[in-house]
Formats: sequence, C-alpha cells, structure tokens
Amino acid sequence: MFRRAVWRLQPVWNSRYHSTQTQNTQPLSSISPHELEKFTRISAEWWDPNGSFKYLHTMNRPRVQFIRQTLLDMHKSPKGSVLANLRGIDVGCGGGLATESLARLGISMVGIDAAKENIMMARMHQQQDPMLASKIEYRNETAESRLGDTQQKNEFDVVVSLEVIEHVRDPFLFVKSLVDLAKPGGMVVLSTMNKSAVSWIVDIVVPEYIMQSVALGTHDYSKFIPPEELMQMLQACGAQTLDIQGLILNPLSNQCFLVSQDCCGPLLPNIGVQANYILAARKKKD
Amino acid sequence: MLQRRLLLSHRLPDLGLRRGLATQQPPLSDGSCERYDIAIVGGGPAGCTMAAALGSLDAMSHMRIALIDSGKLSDIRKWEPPIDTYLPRTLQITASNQRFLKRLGIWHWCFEDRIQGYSRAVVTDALGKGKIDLDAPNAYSGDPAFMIETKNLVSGLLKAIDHNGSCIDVLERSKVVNMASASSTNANPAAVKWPTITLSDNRQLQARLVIGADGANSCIRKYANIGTYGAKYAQYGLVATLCLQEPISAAFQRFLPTGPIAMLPFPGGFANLVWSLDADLIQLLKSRISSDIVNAAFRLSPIEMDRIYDLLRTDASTELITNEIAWRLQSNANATNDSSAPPLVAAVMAKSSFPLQLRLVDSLTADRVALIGDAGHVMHPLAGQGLNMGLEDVQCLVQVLEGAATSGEDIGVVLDRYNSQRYVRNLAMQGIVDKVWHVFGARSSLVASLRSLAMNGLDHLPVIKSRMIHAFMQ
Repeated sequence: MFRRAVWRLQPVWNSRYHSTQTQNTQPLSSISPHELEKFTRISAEWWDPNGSFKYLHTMNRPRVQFIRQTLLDMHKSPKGSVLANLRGIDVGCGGGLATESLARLGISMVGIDAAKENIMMARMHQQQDPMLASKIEYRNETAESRLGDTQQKNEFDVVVSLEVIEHVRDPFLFVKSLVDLAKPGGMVVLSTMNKSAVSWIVDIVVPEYIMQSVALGTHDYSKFIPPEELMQMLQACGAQTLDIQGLILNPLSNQCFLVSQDCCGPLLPNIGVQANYILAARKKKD
Repeated sequence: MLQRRLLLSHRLPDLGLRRGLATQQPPLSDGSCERYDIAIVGGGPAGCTMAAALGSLDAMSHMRIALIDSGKLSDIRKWEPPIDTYLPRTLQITASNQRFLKRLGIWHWCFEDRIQGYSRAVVTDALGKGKIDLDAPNAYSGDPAFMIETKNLVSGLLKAIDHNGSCIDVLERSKVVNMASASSTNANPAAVKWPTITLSDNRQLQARLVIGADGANSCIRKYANIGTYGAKYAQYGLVATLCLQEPISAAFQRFLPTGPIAMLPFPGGFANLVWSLDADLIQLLKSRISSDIVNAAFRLSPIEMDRIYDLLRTDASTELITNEIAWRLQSNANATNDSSAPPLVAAVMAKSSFPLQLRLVDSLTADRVALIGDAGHVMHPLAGQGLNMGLEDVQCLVQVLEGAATSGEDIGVVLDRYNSQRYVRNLAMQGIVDKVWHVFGARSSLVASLRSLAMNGLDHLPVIKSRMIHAFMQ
C-alpha cells in the first residue's frame, strides 16, 4: 500500500513556479496580430472538448463537483447560492478550465499562471462567455509573487491548484504558499497523482507511451506525491485534511468519476487513490 | 500603480476582442440585448414543466432563465375552472411522469379534484372483434395513468413558477420573430457565440441555451435549421367533453377502420372524447356530433357506421339519425350489453379539432439549441404518449443540465448528452405508435383477423398483460 515516505524540505526555488516577477500582468493590447491569431488557435484547441485535451475536460467535471460539494458541506448549506459570496484563486490555472467552471458556480475567481501564454489563452476564452467578465480576473503571476506583491495573506475562501504540484520543484513551499493565500477557515484543494505502480502505468506508461495522447516527459514519476505525504505537508502548514477522493477515468466511454479512498472495503485500504486523487483541506482558524 | 496595471489589462486592443462582442449587440436604437442563461420558448405544458423544474433546483438558483410565450400566460395562471364541465383539450400523464411532477412540488398547484386517475383500459377492434382488457392489479400502488385538462396542468405549472422560480422571467405576449443561431453570427473566434432571439416588440435577448418548446410547428426548430421529415395522416382529431349516464374510472378505446375513438375518464361522470377521423368526416361530425353518434361509434359495426356517415353526408335531419341509431342499437342487443363498451353518453359538450401528423426531427439539438416536447416529435394521439414523451424529454434535459451546472460547465455545450439519451427512444416510440395506426387502419379482413387473434391471445396471457401494464407504468 502506501509507502510511509517522509518528505524532505527542499528549499530550492523552482524556476517556473517560484520565479519572482515584477511585471505581473501584461495588457493584451501589446500583442501583435500574428501572435493573437496564434493564441486564438491554441485556445480553440485547448478548449475543444473532443480535441487533444479531451481528458482534461473530462476530468474537470468530477473535480469541480468535488470542490462544490466539499464547499457546500463545509458551509453546512445545501444551497448553491452560498458560493456566490466566496472568493477563490486557481493557482496554475492553465487555459482556465477549472477557473471558468468555478466562476460559473458563482465564486469570484482569480486565475494565476506563471506562463504568459496560458493567461493569454484563458483571457481569450473568457471573452466567449459574457457572464464571466465580472467573475474572473486572470493574472500572469505565481502564488509566491502574489503573496510578495500584495503583502496580503489570507485573501481567499478557497484556494485551488489542480495537477500543478507534481510539476513544481519544491512541493512543500508550494503547499505553504497555497495555505498562506487562504483565509483562516478557508479551504485548500489540491489534485495530483499518487506514487504507486498504478499511477506509473495509468499516468505515464499508458498516456505517454501507448496512447501517446500526452507529450513524452510531461510527468515525472519521482515528483508524484502519495496522499499521506501531502496531508503531512498541509498539516505542517496549518491545514487539516477534510476529504480525499480518487479519480477514475474511463478513456473508452470518456467518463470520469470520483471514488472514495476505501472504495473496495477495509481489506484493501486506499485502493481508490492509487492513481489520481483530489484532496480538500481546511486552514485552521488562528 | 498596481491598480492601474490591472485596469490596463482589461482594456482590450483595437483589433481585438471586445469588438467581437460589440458586433453581437443588436443594431437597435435602444441597443438593449438582455442576456440569459436559458431561454425557454413556448409556454405550453412542456415549456412550463421545464421552467418549473429548473426553478426548483438549487444548482440553477443563480441562473437567469426566461420563459417566452406569445400568449397571455398570466390569464392562464389565474384560470378558474368552470364548475359544470371540463375542457376538451386534455392530457394523459403516466404514473412515472406524475411522480416527477409531484417530486418537483408542481402537482399540488393543479386543481387535483379535476384530475382522474385510472387503472383499467379496454381496447377493442371493431372489424375483427378483438379485445384486450388491461387492468392494473392492486399490487401496484396508485393509478398507472392520470387524465388532466391541459389548462389545469399549465395553470398549476405557472403557479409553481410564480411561487418558487425566482430566477425565471416570464415574458408573455412576446412572439419570437427571429433567432440568429450561434455559429452564423460571427466568425471571430473570441466573440460570444450565443444565439440571439428577436421578439415581436423588437427586444433582443441572447442566451447560452435556447430550449425550443414551441410545439409541432416550432419556429426555434426552423431557425436552428433542424430538418424534419414525416407525413400528415390526412386525419384530424376531434376532441369533446362527454357527459355520461354513469361515471367511469376506466379508459375505452375502439379501433374503427376510419380511425381510433377513445373515451377517457374524468371525475363526476364526465369523460373526454378523442376521435381520429378522415378529413371529410371531420367536417360532418364536428357540427353534427351528438351523444347518439358517440354511442353508435363504440357499439355498431363499421358497416353500420358507414351507413350513419352516409346519412350525415345527405344532410339527414338529427331526428332521422337518432332514430336510425336507436333502431340499430336495439336490434343489436349484444352490442348494447357488451361489457367492453363504455357507459352511454348523455350529452356532448365543448368540442374542437386539430390535424394529426407524424413528424420526425433530424436531431433534438443544434448549437446551443435543444428541442423538447412536440417541437422534437409529433405523433398520433392514439396512445396518449405525446406529452409523456415531452415530459421524459424534460426529465432527461433537466438531469443533464443539473449535472453540468454542478460541475460548472457551460450548459449550452453539453446537449449531446441529451440528444444521445432521447433521440432513439423518441424515434422508437413514434415508430411503434405509427405502426399501430397502420395495422389498425387496414381494412383488409386478413389483417383484421390477425390483429384480433393477437389481441384476444394477449388478453388470455396474464403474464404478458401484466408486463405491458408494467412497461406502461415504468
């Protein structure tokens, strides 16, 4: 089952996610028509639910459902309208897949990404839904630069970072930034891949080598994180894990669903979270 | 400084994106283009159920929904039922759909004392003397089907919308005069690609999703370029309210070579008549229909009925026809005592008629457009399944939209899930009802004896009968 691995502090700045940036937003107006056309094309590809990023779209649904349900449970209300009063941030938002979905639930979202191209793409797509204009603000920055720039911690009711932590150089520092962004009592949601034989097959061998639907080298097995390791990191940063659920993708029917951690009973613990999982934690009130 | 940068980031370039948005705006002097998440076009039973169902969902509570109808819906909402009669336009609702309406808290908004549940249906064949008596055993709790006046249902639905659909704007007396479909309006990839509806008062509104519930001659279907094929049956439906000599709680249907005639129960000794007739007969019967003719149609043989029609064609006096029928019924004592015939009709009240057709659509969806109810399928009323299919459309679409809403998806782009679940089922149901019509429309004696053999056979096979009832109840 789980390796009882002990995570080590790696105080190294990741070039991609931890670079200090002075210029955090770049106006769209500075782009050449040629570039604009390029981004439009990439954006259209990214957002095509049957295109090459199709499984990203498929997996987005249960993730957002999980976030919605956990938030409703946390606020002890069955009514979706409580979400309209919340402020959220999507760290590493990419093209804005989850950011848009969360904004449609009513949450006022900030989407940040270290890659300028992603922010361009996300803003481009945001234009297609006029009801999102007032709900999302995209910025080209990192969690750390946001904390550094605004000198403001404890900003958000919900901090979301999906499929990002397995790409960062220093997961602990990353988790700490996420927790710092959340208000006391706020929620932090992370999704990533377990470090197991199953995840190696499901997340590397099959998509990168067999189906070749994902570019080679997209994922690095050594950076996969077992759930209890992530829980310990969150605990150390002052956030208590509320719930962990596994995500199972059926590529044939193109459906993805949530399974509980121990979906196969007590004899096979943690079987549900052998590969992809999503975790929600609550930042302690001071 | 930071704030300034932020502002800058939202100002868009000249060649860019906002202009795409701007061209979507109506070229009107008042320049208003309201935006909705969902625009439901058509305030009939299907459209109103859709609106009431969406209005009752928590997942939809933050959405803006418009219900558009050219009629005056507020009058229907305030409808006061007449005390001494029932309206001729009625609907049959299956138990599963009734449970759906109950679950949504809609059913109790209708006048429940005007709804008749029934558990027995007697179907007979005039030519071949076949008979099948479907009686739902007591094991099933409740009735498998309900009869309700269309106006009673719609009025209840509108009350439910008024009561708990705070997110729904009812735009009454607004006719849709145009809909620019999503893809045709702008080639700019960053532009808003939502359909734009123009109303008769020149108002425009744009919606993420347009639901066409505007009936058999749907204009939304036309604007969305969804093709249809099908045929008119060259038949008309004659509907009327009947006053019976004794109350009934069963449905009676008799297949005549000219088309099926059905008597459906209502409370207090009333019933609803649904009679399919050829074009020439409908002209005769619409003005001359009487209790005698209805009694004859449920009892006399097709040859005798032809004789009555001939009398009507020669403009015979009412008295002559009454005498003719009375004489024939008396001489045919078997027919009068037949247990499969309904009680005698005392009076025929309010009546109306409409053409019957079969219409199939190429698809139930187009880009950001979904069709429900008769807009997506028109069929023969002989099985009373038209609205039930419509309500199943609603159940399915509501489920798809709720799932999409709770996962934050754009509800305008998930319609494939609806089409794939409903399209084939609808075609199958339409096909079955069409086949039944053709089989029973045949005058050939071979077909007649075969179908009667089949019906009588089925009548003596309780297992298959209970399965049929079960399938009917779902």
